[in-house]
Amino acid sequence: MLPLIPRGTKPGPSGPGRLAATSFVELVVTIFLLVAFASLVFPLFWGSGRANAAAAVENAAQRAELTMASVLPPLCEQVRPPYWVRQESAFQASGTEWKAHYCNGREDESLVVKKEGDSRLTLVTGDRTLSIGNLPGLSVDWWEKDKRIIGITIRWHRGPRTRQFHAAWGSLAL
Amino acid sequence: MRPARIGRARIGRTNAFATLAAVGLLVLTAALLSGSVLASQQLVLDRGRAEAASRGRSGAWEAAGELLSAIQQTWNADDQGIDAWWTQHDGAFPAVSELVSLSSRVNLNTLTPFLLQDSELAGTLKGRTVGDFVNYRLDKGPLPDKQGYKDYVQPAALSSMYDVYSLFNVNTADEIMLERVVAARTGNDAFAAAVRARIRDFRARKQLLTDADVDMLLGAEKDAVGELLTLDPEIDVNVAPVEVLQAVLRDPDLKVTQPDARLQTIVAGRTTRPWSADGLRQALGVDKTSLLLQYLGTRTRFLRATVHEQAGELAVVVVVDYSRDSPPRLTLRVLRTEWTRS
Repeated sequence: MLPLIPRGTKPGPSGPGRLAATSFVELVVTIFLLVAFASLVFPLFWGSGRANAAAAVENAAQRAELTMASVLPPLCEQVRPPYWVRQESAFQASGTEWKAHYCNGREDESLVVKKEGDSRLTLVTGDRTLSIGNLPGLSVDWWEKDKRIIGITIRWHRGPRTRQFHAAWGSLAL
Repeated sequence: MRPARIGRARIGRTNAFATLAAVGLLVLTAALLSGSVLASQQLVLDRGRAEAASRGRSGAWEAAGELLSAIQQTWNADDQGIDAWWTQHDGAFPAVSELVSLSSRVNLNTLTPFLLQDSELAGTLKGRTVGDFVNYRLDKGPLPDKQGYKDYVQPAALSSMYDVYSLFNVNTADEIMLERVVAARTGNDAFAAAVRARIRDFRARKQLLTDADVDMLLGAEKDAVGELLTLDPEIDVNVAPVEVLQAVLRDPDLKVTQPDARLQTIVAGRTTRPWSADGLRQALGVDKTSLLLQYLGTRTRFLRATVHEQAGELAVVVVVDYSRDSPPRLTLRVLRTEWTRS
């Protein structure tokens, strides 16, 4: 015979009734928190997926532009062919590669600007290589003035607009 | 009594769980938000730095451009030396810290071993012999930057007496360096060697090349060589330091009579008005075909301006062309720019 539970007495510390009763509030709170958490996280990671992707592309484009703005001018400033050299031997271009020679003593060094694919720019000096991606519609040209090559011009698309960046050499041939 | 205790404990556990969950959620949210804020902040900082550097560069360029325009428009080179002009105008260009005539200095690339050896210039070498200097230049030269000579020339002399900018005078420049410059310019080593051999012939006969000789010497390559090879003197007596003038005037090969008296005349005369070509010739007591006039002239051909900016310093080297008018019209071309970060 089962022992009788006195009327008005709540379930003891063990048994299925206690589990159901004690977990109910926790379950409700947990579900509420999960819903709240999901409502916060979902828009951030999934709900605004497209916006995030667009923002990532924009950030990458900004990063590429900033990298170029901070790296290219100092690299170009190193290009100091002595004023007695001729342009034909100091600046050469072939297809997707632009090479500017400069003189460190009698040792010939160079800055090479390579266009790789449609959106990647690679800069190579004697001991450094730097690659900048996220430049869709990339094109590279010499920057010329008064029939002299004074630097390099880089163009690319950012959204509907064409962006262009100029960096001049540190010196010119006389 | 026992059920009541159990109820309080359960409520306590629930509260603790809820608090823990809420704090966890808060921490997660704060981390997400701060992460995104920091990322944006970094981007803004990077952009700010790039924009500040760009603003600094364009500001320095603007100051240099204003200076060059002012020189072009207001400097009467027949009436005033460039030093006097700068003394008069430096207040108008607070960002420009220095304007120097590089034609006041001896070009270390063109300096002949004879002038170095026979004059006070030998004393400016930094514990080296003239032979050491010549061998070094033979190995490395011509150098595009005078700092390349810093191990061979005393710092004070390197700063005030020497540079590496001048046109290459065919009658006075070192013949090996002339050959190298012509080779670099034309890309034709055989032609450069022929030019050197011809120049050596003239020098052996102690005969100066004239404009017609230079035209014949360069022939079809004249356009390629352009204005680089010249008969214009490299040093401007109106701005050159006394030590430089003294070294040239005392060179025994130039056979200047009373060199110290000539020096005093030149230095005293330039304080009121710059020397003209004819005036200088008379003051030196030489005729138009004198070798001395291939060294000493009255025009500044190269200038260097230094512009200070918050983030660094911009140095600009300019070549100056003069028309034959009086006063001469000036054409200034920027030859070199150098940005030094502070």
